[in-house]
Amino acid sequence: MVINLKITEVDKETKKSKKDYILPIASAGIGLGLTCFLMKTGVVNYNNFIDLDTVGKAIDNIPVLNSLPGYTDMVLKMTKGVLDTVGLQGIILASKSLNLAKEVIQPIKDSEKFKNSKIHHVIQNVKKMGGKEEKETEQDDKYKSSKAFLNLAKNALGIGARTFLIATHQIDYNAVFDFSKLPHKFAKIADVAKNIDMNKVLIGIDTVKSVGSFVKGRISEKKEGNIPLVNFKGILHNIGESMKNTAKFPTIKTLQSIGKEMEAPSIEMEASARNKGER
Amino acid sequence: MLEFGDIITLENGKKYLVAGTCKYNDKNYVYLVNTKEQTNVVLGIVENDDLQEVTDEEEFKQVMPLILDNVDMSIFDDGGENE
Repeated sequence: MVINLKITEVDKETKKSKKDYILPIASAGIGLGLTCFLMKTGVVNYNNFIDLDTVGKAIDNIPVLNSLPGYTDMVLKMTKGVLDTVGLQGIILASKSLNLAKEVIQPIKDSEKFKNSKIHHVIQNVKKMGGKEEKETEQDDKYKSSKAFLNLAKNALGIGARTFLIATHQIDYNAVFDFSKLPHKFAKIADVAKNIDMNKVLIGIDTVKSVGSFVKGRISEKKEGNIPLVNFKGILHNIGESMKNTAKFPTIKTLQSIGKEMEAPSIEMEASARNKGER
Repeated sequence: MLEFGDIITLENGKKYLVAGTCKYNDKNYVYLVNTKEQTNVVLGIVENDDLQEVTDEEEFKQVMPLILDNVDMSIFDDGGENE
């Protein structure tokens, strides 16, 4: 339904607390980064990407996407980077990524299993680490909470930014922490991303790396409009099940064994095919 | 005038965060994110107290990059450091 409505109230005060208006975008940043990665590594076909049901359900079992309660507006900048790379569809990706984030977040967040899981416990610890100072007063509690959310938002940004940078081949996957070689136009993303203490956000980084490594190793040969999403979906499901059952992230070896049935060309072959105008 | 970070309430009771703004062709554009349903995003034109959603693809394509250029990064200025 197209919106054509009157604005009845404008609140200019809430934003001063930052926490309350750092909505909703850190998880969308993760979603955007991850979906960009999936697209760039050929797992998701660019033209059928609009149908996110398949991708959303496939990624549904990755808990990291719901582990970030803070948000940031940086996804908009990332969207611009995507726009530079893939055109208008970058904007569509941003909005679809928000849908993706929602698909992933709520069901898992609401589940009792998640609330009792080790992962949830780790997240709670991350939240505590995100706060800056221990203070006593009620006012200070609000301050601490606000800082924690902002820090978490920054961490979410770092994850999304790194994923995006990997996905667009702006940084080498193995040199993900080396920002000195970034093109200047990504300097702003890098400036924020490099300040993120990755040791604080273990879940997100590890999981993105695991999925990324796996996908990189299992990139599917692109045929016209015929991306084997079903296989990828099944593999991600297995990964998700492994993670839920063990509360650990699968090793690369595990991922490789799960996906070994997929024969795929290397990234170099894909790049070569792209250069020849094939997709 | 709406600014980044403002929260508006529409006559249907829904609240949106102003996540970006720009002026283009003498129109005031806003990029809104619903505060409860974060998947609900709107690019709209604000005139007086009226919000009209942008539906034209070409207009959307022209305006969104301008919105993004205006994103307020000051949120990071005093937000505290990661330890």
